[in-house]
Amino acid sequence: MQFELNEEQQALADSVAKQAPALFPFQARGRRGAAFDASKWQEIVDLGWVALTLPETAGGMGLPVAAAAPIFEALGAHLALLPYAPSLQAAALLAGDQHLGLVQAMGEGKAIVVPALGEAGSDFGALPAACRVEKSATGLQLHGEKRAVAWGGQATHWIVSALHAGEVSIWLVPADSQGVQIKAYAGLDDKHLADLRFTGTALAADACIAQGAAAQALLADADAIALAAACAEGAGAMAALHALTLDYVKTRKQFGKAIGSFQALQHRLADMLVKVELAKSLAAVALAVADDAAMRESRLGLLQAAKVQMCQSARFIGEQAVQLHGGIGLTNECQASHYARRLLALDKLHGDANLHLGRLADALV
Amino acid sequence: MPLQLPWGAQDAAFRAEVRSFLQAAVPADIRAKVLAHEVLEKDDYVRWYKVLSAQGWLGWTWPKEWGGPGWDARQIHIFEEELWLAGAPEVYAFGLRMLAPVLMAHGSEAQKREHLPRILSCEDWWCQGYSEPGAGSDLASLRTSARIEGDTIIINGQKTWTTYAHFANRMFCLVRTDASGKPQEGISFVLLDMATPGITVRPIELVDGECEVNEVFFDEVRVPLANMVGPMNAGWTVAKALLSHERFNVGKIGRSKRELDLLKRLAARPRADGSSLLGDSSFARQIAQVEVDILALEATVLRLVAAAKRGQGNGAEASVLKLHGTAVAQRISGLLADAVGEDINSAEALAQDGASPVALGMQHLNWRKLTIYGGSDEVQRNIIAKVALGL
Repeated sequence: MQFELNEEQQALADSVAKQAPALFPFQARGRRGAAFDASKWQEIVDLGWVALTLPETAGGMGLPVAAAAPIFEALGAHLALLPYAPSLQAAALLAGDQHLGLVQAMGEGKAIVVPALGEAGSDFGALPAACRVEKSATGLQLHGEKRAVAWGGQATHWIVSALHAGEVSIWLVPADSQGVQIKAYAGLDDKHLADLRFTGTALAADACIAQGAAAQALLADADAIALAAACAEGAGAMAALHALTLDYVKTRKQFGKAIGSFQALQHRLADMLVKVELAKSLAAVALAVADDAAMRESRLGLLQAAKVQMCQSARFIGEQAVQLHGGIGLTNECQASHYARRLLALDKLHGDANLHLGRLADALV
Repeated sequence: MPLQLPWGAQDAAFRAEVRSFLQAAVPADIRAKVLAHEVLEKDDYVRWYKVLSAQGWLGWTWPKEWGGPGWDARQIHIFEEELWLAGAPEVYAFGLRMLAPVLMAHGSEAQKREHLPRILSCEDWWCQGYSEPGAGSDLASLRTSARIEGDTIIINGQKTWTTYAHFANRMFCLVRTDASGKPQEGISFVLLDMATPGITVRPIELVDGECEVNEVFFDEVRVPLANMVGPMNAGWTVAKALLSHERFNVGKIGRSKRELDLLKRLAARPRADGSSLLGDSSFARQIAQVEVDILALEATVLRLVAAAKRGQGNGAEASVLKLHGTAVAQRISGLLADAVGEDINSAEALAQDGASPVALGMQHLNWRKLTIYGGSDEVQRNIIAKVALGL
């Protein structure tokens, strides 16, 4: 892989970095439970951020997920909560020519498609167990419950994993289908989540996206993007939090001088920087391998390593940033607390350090 | 399969070329000693350096103009990693990658022509005379004095922790030529012949019973003034430039990978009851953690190299990499000691590598040096705070 940016990538990085502060001002951050900002999402779509990695046949630019690195970084750095990563996952699940129209609609903002894969008690990568698709007299019906579906309450379509005829399968389900209960709520980091309960939801004849090995391969692709996105957003958030904390210790005075003049604090900030750098590096690796077909067999370990690093860095930086801010760092008026919350949520998203380190350890035997 | 970064085809081809050469070129007896963690003689090192020199690769960081291969930072990274993995003896930086770049940048034409070829031909073994009993982390407080009489420098004082001074026939050192101003301002960079009358080398025995460092005493040592590199009293600037040459190569990733491989083999050995340490999930997790740490280190090296190419960087890259790289190495040496367990007292050979448990125990003790020398962890954090964070 190359860590060097080409001209096109550098131009995108520059433009995203320039636009992001105005796009996502801290003051505009909703309180817990605030409504989804659909117009902000449309702005992102209009900037071409979603189309960037969509296939050219669907009106996209056809770039690899790694091209979106500056976008993930900005979403993390500015605490933006938008269904960007789920959209990229959904696009991976909709790979192929069958769904080009829907993918194109995603790139235009006419559709929001999100994966609905997680179930109660399911760990990262777990196959569906609680959701099943069964034949009835009137056709196929979906039963079961999906948990913590990101932007599940705002989506126009869900991509649902389920068991069907004893096989793993994935299904495209319009959000206006009958027989679905949507329980929407705010996540730890204010992200819009929803539990979806399917009670005999009727599925269209062409709703099946894939079955068996093909479905599992698509789910693995979506998982890879999910992990890489969490790593990249996390790296962006922790870098911003480190910078914020650095500014604070340079201005906060105690004992007659800036607290950043004390060596104990300087060394802490140095250690935080090291952890930011490590997380950034493996996030870049994760993005590079996530949708690289040549890495399909060997990418999982790299993605898990990246997530372990991200979680460990996030924990250290989140906690130390609050510590160095002191009491003010615990208040919601201080940005540090919002970052700490976001970092903890990203830490737990798609498996934490404990889970992934355990799996890496299992792979050693 | 260890976790591997996805290298491109060009990188892989370069790696294959380097690997196939090294596999055949490292003398078998020397490789065996290295893998067994035995102490090497000067002759072992020099024999190997001459093999590399004949291949044109000894000065692998050097520009073509001076006999280097002209490799870029990625190639250098790959080559260094392969050196370690091949079980080659460490190629010490002193002459090749510390003094040589200084001479190329600050040396006179005569100094370059005299010394650079002799470094590549292995005629000279250089040691570095920086630290003193009262000047460790606070290097600028060094007191070894140099007075000028006509065209001669006369040196009095003492250096310490001088690595392989007992192998060296040359030393580059920092001496105080002016004690009146700020500590950094009165220092000069001087080259000397270790056979000069008045120099005494006294080995220091370390915790592992070996002598790799020395005290060096100077009693009215007379050196030609022409041996000064750069202007008088500019030695601090010259020495600082030297430090920046090793920016991306301080992590010694290849060595950590090699030791990690050994760790995995040791941990996989069946114990008396048929179980293995690798089957102990808490131990396996520690190994997995080290794998993550090494991967993150390597990715960071490559990312920072790429950033530097674009002219971006925080200026404290070497400190970031040294802090993490040495922490990882020490974690591995600790796990190796854990893996041999109670056998740590035994000098009996272990695996096919022949690394004895007692050698691995000694290595763990010896490797505490990693976070002390070349700027301690604490100094690295000071540098990061000042240079990268503006504190």
